[in-house]
Amino acid sequence: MAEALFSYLSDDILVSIFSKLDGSDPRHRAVLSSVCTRFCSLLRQHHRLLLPLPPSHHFPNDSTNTPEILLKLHFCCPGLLHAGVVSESGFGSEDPIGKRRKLCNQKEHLASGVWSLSREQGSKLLARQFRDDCLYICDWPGCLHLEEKRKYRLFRGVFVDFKETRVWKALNDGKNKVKRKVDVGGCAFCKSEESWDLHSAFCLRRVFGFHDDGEPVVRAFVCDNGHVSGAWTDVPMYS
Amino acid sequence: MELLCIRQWISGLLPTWLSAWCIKPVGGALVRQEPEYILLALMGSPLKKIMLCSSEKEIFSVEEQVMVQHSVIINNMIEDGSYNHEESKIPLDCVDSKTLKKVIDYCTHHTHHHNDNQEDLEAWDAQFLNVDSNGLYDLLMAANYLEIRNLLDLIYGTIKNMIKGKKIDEIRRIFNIKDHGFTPEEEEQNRKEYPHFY
Repeated sequence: MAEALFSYLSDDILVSIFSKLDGSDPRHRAVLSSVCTRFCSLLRQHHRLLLPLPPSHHFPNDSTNTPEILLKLHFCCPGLLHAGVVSESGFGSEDPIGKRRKLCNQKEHLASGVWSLSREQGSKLLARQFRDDCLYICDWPGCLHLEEKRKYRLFRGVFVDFKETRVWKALNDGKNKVKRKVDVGGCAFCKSEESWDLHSAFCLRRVFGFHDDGEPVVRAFVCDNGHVSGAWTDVPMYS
Repeated sequence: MELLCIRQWISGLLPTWLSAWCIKPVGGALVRQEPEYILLALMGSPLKKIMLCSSEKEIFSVEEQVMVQHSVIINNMIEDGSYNHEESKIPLDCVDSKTLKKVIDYCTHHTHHHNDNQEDLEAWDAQFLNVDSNGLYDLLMAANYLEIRNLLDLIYGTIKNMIKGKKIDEIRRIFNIKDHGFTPEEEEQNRKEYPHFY
């Protein structure tokens, strides 16, 4: 069979072919990594040469932010649950179809919108005193979720060297440490079970404010490994 | 390599009006021929040829400078003097006649048409690579063996286009991967995590 010949390609030829793929689209690496263990191993060995995606260069030997997790951060939306928009405890009186649709958006899924992460977007989220912390967030507009009350634009991201950041110090500081911990069903990107509410810890810009019904305009949660999940909403035109 | 120097020297000597007159018939059309080639022909000095021998023992005579420009392996052999023009032929035991002829066509075209506009060259390349999987694989192996960089890049790009945007199961078919190597649990986990990609 003609196609059988391609199974004999050497590693360096395969690497050369993979390197031709568009590095800005993280799908390619996700797909190729899942084709077979040989491709997965080649991509791991050459991940800094192939399809380099920021912020992977910040995490050279980090076991909690492996290439696979960093890749997932690019295109996996955390879902309404992990972004803290809904809770796991039921929906009230919704019809079965609506309930099923909502279930689909609860958990992680392929994100709509742009799949690149940028530090600039992370800087726009954090309050001034945290501007030296390095946070990468997916670019605007995030993954759009149209819900009854309003539109939610879910985002995800990661802190570089999270335990060295001022945000981490602020979260662990003082008497209110326990109150800042929330349950959003664990982190969508790692095994971390607990998350911290960045909004109530005053880590986000004050200007974001609240809607009339008390919902924050921007919410964000971070796990112990620095993975961030959150949601933007549209700022009300008239206060 | 001395031939290239001669060619450059001649180019420097020629008046520009001569370029306008340097046309010759090729395949029923009149095309512009680099004046230095015509002048060399008029001077009675044949372009140096080398002999390439396919795995089927068929001999192909080709301009030395064409192969030297494109193949690192052949360039090295001629530069280090291991190739004797009078007696030698270069044996290419892993390239069959059909593939060798195509490789020579590619190198010859790109040498003689390097001044063509990019669109025309790309169109020619696309037509050149309009072959079946067997042919593509043979060309890839030949280009890899002879270290013909631009042909390799072209073929890598073609194979990349074959797999770009394809689902995992389709890529496995293209590469004939029967045993992907993942445990059943790993495969199930991957399918659960990225269902859209299967």
